Amino acid sequence: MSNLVVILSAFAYLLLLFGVAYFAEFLAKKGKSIINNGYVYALSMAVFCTAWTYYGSVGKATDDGVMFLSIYIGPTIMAFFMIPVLGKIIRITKYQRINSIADFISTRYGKNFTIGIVVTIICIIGVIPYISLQLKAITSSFEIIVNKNPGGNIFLENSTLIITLILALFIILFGTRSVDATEKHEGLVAAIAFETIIKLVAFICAGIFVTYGIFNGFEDIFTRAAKHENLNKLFEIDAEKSSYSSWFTMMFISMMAVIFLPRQFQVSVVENIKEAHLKKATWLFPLYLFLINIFVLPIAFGGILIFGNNSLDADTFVLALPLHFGQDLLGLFIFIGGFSAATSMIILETIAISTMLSNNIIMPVFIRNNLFKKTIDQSFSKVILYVRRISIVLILVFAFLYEKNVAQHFSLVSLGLISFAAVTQFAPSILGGIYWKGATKNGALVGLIAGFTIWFYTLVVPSLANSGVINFSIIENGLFGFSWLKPNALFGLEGFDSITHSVIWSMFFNIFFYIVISVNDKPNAQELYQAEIFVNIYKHAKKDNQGVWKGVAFIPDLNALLENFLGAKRSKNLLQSYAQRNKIPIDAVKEADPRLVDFSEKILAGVIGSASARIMVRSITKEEEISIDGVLKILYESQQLIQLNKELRKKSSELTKATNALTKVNEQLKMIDISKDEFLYTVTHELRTPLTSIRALSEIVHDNPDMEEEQRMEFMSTIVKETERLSHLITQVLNLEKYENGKQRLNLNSFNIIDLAKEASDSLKHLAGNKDIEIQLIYPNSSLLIHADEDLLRQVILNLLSNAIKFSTKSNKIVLRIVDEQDEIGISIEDFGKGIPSAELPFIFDKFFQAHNQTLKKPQGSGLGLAICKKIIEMHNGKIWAESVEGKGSVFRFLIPNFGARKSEQ
Amino acid sequence: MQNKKQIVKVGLMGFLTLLLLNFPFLLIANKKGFFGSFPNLFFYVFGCWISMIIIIAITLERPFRKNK
Repeated sequence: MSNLVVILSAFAYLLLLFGVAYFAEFLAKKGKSIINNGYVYALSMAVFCTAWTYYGSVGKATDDGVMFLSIYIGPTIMAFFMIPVLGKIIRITKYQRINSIADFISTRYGKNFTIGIVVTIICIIGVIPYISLQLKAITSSFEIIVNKNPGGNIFLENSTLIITLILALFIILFGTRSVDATEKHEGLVAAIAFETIIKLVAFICAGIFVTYGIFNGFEDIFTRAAKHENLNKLFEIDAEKSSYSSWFTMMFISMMAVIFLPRQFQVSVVENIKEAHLKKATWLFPLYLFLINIFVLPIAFGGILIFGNNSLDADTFVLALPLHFGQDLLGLFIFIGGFSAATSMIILETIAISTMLSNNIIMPVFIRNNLFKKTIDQSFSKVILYVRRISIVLILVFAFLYEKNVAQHFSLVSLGLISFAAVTQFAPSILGGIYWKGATKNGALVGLIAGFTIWFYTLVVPSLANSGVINFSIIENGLFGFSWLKPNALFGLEGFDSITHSVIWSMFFNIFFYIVISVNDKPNAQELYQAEIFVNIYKHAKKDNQGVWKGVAFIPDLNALLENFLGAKRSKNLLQSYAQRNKIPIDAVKEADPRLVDFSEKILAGVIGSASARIMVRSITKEEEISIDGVLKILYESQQLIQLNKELRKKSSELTKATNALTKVNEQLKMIDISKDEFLYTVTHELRTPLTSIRALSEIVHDNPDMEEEQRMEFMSTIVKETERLSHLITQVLNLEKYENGKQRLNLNSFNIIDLAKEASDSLKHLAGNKDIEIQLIYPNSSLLIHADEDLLRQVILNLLSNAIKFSTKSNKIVLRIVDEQDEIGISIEDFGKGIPSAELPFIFDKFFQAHNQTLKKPQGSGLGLAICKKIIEMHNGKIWAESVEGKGSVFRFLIPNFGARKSEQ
Repeated sequence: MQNKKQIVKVGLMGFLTLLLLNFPFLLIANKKGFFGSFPNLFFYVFGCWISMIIIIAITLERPFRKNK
């Protein structure tokens, strides 16, 4: 294919990319975001698949069979944990306005400069070679596709440089629009998602062509490969070569890389619009990884089957196979696919690292040297944007030079894995940082440096030695000739591949120092505060935290500071809307509310990083040095408030309960008062009736001395009867009063209840006989001892019996039944009289109930009998009740617990 | 945001994937021979992989029933 066509296609593709980005930004301005959904979010995550995936997987598959898959299965597994883990990181990032992974770690550990610098350096050293690798892939794919028409072309020679420069332009155009690095790059993300689709489609086209165009499907390729002497050993994992540990290590570092690679952090955290998009990405991103890997093995095997073993670099099979079979157009599309994989990675990685470079290394230099103060009249935002643009160019130039001079010595795959191992060093300080409050800056710093040093010594040094940059003897004999310092067998650990070996030692020292130093460290106030925010982000993100800031700041100063970075209009808008939302008076007072200071710092953090923002805000405020106690106090104040609130609520509910209880008691008291009045009224009424007749009769007798003897005797006997009734009533009232007051003590003794019942029925035999009523006694065969007050119980039985007689119709019977119920003794008295209306049943034990309802002639009894019975039974802890069917009779029953008494033989 | 049960389920599937696709379970399929058109190991790895993705996609995308 002609050089020109290829180069023009590449440029046309880049132009298309610009178009997509512009279009996305154009739509965004109209309020229609195309990146605000889970699909684009998941697609943008697939920037994980670079040219290394596109070309290198096939190469690796020809060496190790399925081993390369662990690099994609790891991220799949990580994706399943994305909602809880990445979700928390995203929440923290949004809350603190963090704009890079270095900023994240620095903010967590007290907004510390040093740790931000260390992380940035690790990223630069660990990841820029990876960018070079993409450039290298572009160059080599160029070479392959134009291979048919050899002949040097000055344009081709420099095409990589030109493409690098175009990419720089693209990144500057769409990546540095706003000084606020936390602002979403709408165009950029849209372009990345577009590229992701292109590379997947292109790779699958290549796969289908190889599998179904050249061969007859999967089965054909695999059966042929099974017969091939070099390929059939790739059908298994070689347990001899410690492949299981390599498999696991690759899986582990790719799990970490999928979150902690700067570009991955950029797309999945910084560019995240809604946390809810994680849900789609949880399965869509793994699905993407799965799809892009389906055809890797067929292409790898197909390549070997067609080209033989050593004639061609296996990394180029994807492109070489279609070209070999004359499919130039398909070849061009596949080339564009690989190109898109490379450019998307370069774009995002560069923007992520440039933010770190400018915010964590260059900005602090400006701030330390007060460079901002000298240009106080100028807008800093321009300075920042230029710094960021220069960083982008610097990174790309560095990557380009590295590719031209160093990367030629390395294979694609090793560079990728080395990068993964480098960013795995962030795992302890980030994962520890969001779940463990005790982690401190010093622990993280020493852990990172230790891990990174070992990574460098065990992975980079051997590569440098292999390529002849440094003396090879360091590998053979170890550093300074110490054999235990051999980079490939540190401390004598042998039998692992170099990546596993490096990960074991670097992670060991990283985690070891991280934990040991953290637990022995005394963190300062700022660190403690940040630790609390990060670990308990879900609690803090809900409210606008006041922050730990204490001191004096003036609104004009704050405004001026923000103005310098964001412009007058924007900063005014931001401050005013925040003030309005939180009801902070902004015009009335000159001294700023602490919340406003905190807010300004966060806004600034989005622009220049949290560490720099802190310094800038400090410079315009008179800050009081806060103590650890102060931080703890502020942090726990909110907690205490919640606690206090809870207690208050509890107290108030207790109060309500008490009030309710009081109201109830009050009502009861009122009822009692009413019933007392009623009682008094009834009693006096009851007393007056006999008294009236006594008085009347006495007066008659008194006024008529000449009254007939017979008449007088009759009057006198009535008077006596009435007097008796009167005294009986008074006795009853007094008794009841005694029982109700609890003044009456039970005179307990054991006696045979059957004897008592017999005695009682005997004493009423006469009365019953008058109405021709028979009292029938039913009782157990043996004597039944009961421990109770004999006199009172007799009173109850007599009362009930006489009631029964009173209400029985003539010539009937009354049954007195005694039942032994083991723990209780039951006595029932049954009559067959007129019965009690069911409506009145519940009230018959009330005082004077009968009197109330006495409509007929004279009252039969005081109306206190049943009330007294009830009291007596209750005093014995028993219970009494009545059952009745109107017109058929009633049964009165009572149960008395039979404590202490024994049944004895008769 | 998401149903807590869903997150736990998906996390559990993550652990399961980690187990199934590592030593020693990987040994199950690490043998010569074919399963249909595919070599045993390839079939096992790809099969586990896509099954997990499908299960999780169903778990997350199915409108969750409210517990009555």
